[in-house]
Amino acid sequence: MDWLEFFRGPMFQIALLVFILGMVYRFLRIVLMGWKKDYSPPRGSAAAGVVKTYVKGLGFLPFLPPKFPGTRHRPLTYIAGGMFHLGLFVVIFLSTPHMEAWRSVLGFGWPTLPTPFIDGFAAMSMIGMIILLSNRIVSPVGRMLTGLGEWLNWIVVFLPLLSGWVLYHHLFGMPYQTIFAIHMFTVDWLLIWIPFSRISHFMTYFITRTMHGAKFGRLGVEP
Amino acid sequence: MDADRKLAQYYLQHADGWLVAQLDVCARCGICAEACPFYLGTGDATHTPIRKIEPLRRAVQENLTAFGWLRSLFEKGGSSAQEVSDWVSEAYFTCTVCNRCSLACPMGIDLGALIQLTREGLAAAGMTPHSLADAVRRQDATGSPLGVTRTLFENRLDWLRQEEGVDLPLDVPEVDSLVAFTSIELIKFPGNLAAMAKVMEAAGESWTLSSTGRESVNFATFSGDTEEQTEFVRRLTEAALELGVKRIILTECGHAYDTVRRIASRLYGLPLPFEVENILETIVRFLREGRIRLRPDAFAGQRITFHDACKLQRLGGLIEQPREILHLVAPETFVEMTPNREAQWCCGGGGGVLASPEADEIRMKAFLPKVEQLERISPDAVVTACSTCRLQFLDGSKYYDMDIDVRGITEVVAAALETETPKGA
Amino acid sequence: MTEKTIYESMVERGLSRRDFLKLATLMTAALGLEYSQLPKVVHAMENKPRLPVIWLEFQDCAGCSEALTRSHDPYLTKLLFNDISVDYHETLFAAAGKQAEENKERVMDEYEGQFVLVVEGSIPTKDNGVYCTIGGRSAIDLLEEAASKAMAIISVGTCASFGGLPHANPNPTGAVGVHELVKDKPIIHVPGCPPIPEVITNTIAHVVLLGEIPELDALGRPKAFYGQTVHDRCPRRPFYERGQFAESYDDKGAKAGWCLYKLGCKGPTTYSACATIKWNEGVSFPVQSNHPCLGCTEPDFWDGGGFYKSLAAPPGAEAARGAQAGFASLGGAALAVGSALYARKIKQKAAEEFKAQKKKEA
Repeated sequence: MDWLEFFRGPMFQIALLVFILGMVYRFLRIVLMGWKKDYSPPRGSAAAGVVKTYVKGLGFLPFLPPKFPGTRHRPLTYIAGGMFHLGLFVVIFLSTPHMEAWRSVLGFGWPTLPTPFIDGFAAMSMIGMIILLSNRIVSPVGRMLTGLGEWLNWIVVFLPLLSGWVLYHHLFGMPYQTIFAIHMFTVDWLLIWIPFSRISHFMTYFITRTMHGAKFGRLGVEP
Repeated sequence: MDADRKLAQYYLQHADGWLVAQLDVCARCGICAEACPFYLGTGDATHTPIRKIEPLRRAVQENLTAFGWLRSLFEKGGSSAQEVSDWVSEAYFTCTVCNRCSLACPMGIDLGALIQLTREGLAAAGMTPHSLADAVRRQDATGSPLGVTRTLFENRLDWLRQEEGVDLPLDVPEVDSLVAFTSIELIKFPGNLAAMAKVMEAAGESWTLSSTGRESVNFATFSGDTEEQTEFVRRLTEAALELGVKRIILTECGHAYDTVRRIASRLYGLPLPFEVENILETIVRFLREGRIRLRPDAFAGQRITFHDACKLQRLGGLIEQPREILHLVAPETFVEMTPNREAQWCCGGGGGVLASPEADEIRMKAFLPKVEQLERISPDAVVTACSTCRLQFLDGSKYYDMDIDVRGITEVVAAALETETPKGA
Repeated sequence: MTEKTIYESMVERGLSRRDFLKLATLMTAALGLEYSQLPKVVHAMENKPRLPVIWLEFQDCAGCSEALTRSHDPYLTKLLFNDISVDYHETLFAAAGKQAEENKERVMDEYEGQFVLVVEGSIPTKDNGVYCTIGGRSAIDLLEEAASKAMAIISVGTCASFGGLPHANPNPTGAVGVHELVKDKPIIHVPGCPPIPEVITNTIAHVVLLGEIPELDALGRPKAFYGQTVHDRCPRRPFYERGQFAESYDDKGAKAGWCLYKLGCKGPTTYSACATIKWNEGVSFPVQSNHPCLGCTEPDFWDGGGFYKSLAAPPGAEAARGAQAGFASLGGAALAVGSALYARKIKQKAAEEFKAQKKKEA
């Protein structure tokens, strides 16, 4: 079995299983630890708060809301973060090769976007990532908050984007098998690393955001 | 017992799925800092909100996560005295618990609640800063953090009755409303009480003050001492029950509204045996029932703006009430600051910061975003519904040499009352 | 059966020098050599005798031989069949039985170290190789004998090169390619299922006529024919670049000639000359006929995840679905329960310690 077969086959299998196990663990751990009931007298609806908070967070480009108070002084993190996340989601879910990969995991597929669009979003995502990394190095808050975990997370997410780009565009005259194997290797590592790291925030986001919306909706204030 | 152990004891007791999720989801993006007046006023990254909860984060990470536990095996020795002192400083002197960071957080992390929990742990470990701890002790002993005893209280009321010629009923049972104000107002802004009395009279409200339930301020909320916090609220609510009132009206205090409602619901369950109303809601109620009327020419020619107090507006939801009022008294000249409403910049004085002399310098820096806001619209007066904000604005406008009037909303309403007899009562 | 050089035997048959040079030029091109190599080709044919070829078939379907007979290059085929003695070929021979076998033995002995051994089909190794026997002798045995006396070996077809179909999961006969059994002779792999006829003939011609091994890639395949992928020369490539893919065999995209990536085309990972030389006298090749490339020149293409599964669909995902994913979830859940119980214990302990501490301080 050559490297490509290995990274697409047994290692992908293991990576996927580790991912599932890890994410189920992280999710259920929070749910099973429970939380306190809110005894404050309700002034509004928790459900309305939940809807509102998701519309604010996902209704515009993720993290590009003109209403958020933080953006006035330095919109950089918001905009670069939005570029990165939007690009990533489009590439992961709406590109044809990835949709085929999802189909082999889920059993069903969906319509996808033409390649030039995906190219644009992938480029946008990588540029966003580079901006965010520079921010972590240059800004005082960024420097203070960035540790080994953040570096690793960045690398583990950037490499699949980069190698996927090289792969799809047949860059550097590399044999397709080689760069395909590299891409699958980086993807395997991403899958394995996610449940062990803060990248899992894409799942926890839905818990905390819902809690936030419910609490503030119930309080009758803006979530 | 060392500091880390003491703190961990408190935090771990309260560790549940909510706490783990909040700490888990932080992506270290730093957007919370962009929303914090203390960071923006100083440019000092150590005031990043997510860092203010460092002792809490550390306790949970080291005891409840696999990686954290592994790391703790290597990083022995615990936290240094300097670190602990920094934690205290960050949690108490560079944060007003305004919750702006929580509003900005893309992950929906409830930073205000986390910082409050951090304070609670520090308080339980006996690390509350002296000035706050003293104030709590005074409130416990005398009923007021400023030391306003019952006697002093009653004397002051007498003086005010004479000085302003207002009726201040005390301990009258079976009335509709118990009005609870703050000893801050009693000492520093007595005009508030006179104004409030005038508005009550004009509306024909049946109301009283209470000698036992005379303090709505709760310094234990600032210090994080949960037992005392409950005790202070109980004094107020017991007075209300004893008097048999329908509602408690809280005057111009930021944190009282949330604190009283939340703790009362814990003491008495829902529905509460009485309503808890803020003076803003009271005034709007009077206006809508036609019990008072305001003159639209009361502040003719004066540019007035409104400062949203963090606890009343962002966390209390009383956003449109002050605007309803101010649009009536200054229909042509009311201007909004930018940003406003729930995104309004915190003044930098709340959450106990104003009460701590150690924070005097930094709270002036935290006032800088407000200076910028005001300079952009150049109002003649800024109106607020929170006495701490009012004090901070007075200090800040002097510090930055600003020519601006600082007003409480009750005084504004009283000054604009139409003098013909209104309907009702 | 000859000591005459190739040129001499051609002259004997009536070809002029000019015809010979024309032939040599055509052959140089067919072998994928540069024009500057022509003198070398001429020299080889002038000085080297024809090499005999022994063609052995083992666990095969004879498809490669069938392909060989479809080679349309007139000159080379004629050359091969007229001027090169294929001294043993089970399928193509009229002769059979002991006589044919004896003939083979004789040629091998007479031209020991000089003949070219062509092998078609995989060699079963399980149970002492009992699954393929000819004349009572196992394929392992026959291969060993022939290989030891050959000058060089050409494995024609994916079966002889890499094991092919019999080698696919679960490989019940223990089938292997020639190179797994023969370690001491030069082996050229000409994989394909079957290989393009011209690739077979041209490779054999290169060895037999020039007496040398052509330049090979990392998998031992002639670079002249296996140097580029089907994808790199595919006429449907612009559709790939634009992301226009056929969803089924007869949809609008398929009719318009769109890329077959989603239908499972393995073009990007398959090194073969299908898109350039093509099949049936250059008429077409699978993709052009609207069928995805199977990747048949690559080792283990049968087990590569599925002919009709896109390259982007990892076989590991299929394997992990269903029961395995279920177990992983249960595992995660069990860990979570354990973690939550542990957290509760810590909480209780902290509460007790806190109470005790408070009492002490009071």
